[in-house]
Amino acid sequence: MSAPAHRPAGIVTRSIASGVDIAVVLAIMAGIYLCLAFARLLFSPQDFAWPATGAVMSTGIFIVVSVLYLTGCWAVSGRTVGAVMMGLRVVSRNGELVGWPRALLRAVFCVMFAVGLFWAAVDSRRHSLQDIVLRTTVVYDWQPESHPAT
Amino acid sequence: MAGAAAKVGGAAGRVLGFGFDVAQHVPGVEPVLAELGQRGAETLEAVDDLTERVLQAVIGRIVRTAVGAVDLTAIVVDNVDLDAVAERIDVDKIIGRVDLVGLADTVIDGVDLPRIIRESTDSMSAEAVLGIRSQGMHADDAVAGFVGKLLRRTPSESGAE
Repeated sequence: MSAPAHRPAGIVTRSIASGVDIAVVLAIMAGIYLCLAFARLLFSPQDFAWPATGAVMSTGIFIVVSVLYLTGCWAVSGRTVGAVMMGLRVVSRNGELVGWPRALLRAVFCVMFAVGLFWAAVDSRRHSLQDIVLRTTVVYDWQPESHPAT
Repeated sequence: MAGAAAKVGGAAGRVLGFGFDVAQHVPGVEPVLAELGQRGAETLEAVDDLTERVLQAVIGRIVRTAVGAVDLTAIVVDNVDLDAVAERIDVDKIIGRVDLVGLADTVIDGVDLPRIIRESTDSMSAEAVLGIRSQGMHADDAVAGFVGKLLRRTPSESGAE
């Protein structure tokens, strides 16, 4: 099957990719929690108890991990794990990878206002609100390496 | 007649034997007789060797020609009951002589099993990913088409190809 042209991706693939990314972030959080528990067990094995998890703390850690994860992935390769699975890549309007500042802003925007993704279903150019504000786009790109569309 | 000839022969032999014994006792004749006897023995050995070699060559040639002229396989198939021969073969004994574990190890060593498993799983996962991606693309186009119809857009406006 030949790879498709670099055209904007739609709401279904982007939603699935986002779902996979949420699962990845949750897995990272579980890993952090287990590391914390093992560290506690290592230093005070006598009075070991599983670390308490408050809702505010968990939400805060979720936001921080998500922002770091998305920023790193988008700035380095334009693709998160979910995007790799669905063959997507976040690029700027000229087809090049987004820089670190824009990747950070987009990550914060996406995490804090995830609903903005659904504008991609309505928008004629398939842009989410984040894409419109930050002048980015999500394209189908099945190649492992980034090849800006000419 | 034969009896007379035998008697004459026997008498001649005795005369010759007597003559040989006498000659052996004559000084100077004994070394000559010994040399003659050795030469005769060597000649007989040489003739024997030659005869054997000739016979080997001739018989070998005859056998080769005969075997070449005859289809031995057909003769065996026609005349030998191979099933009966096969029934008499003790297969267990033959298998007992074979180092089956060693043989299996050799075969497994020859087959790169990890590579085969790796390649097959790689191709399976690659096909699964391709399937998910293309299904997602079609779903995207379907949603875009549906929304485009709701909003009364032209197909080019909805982003679908």
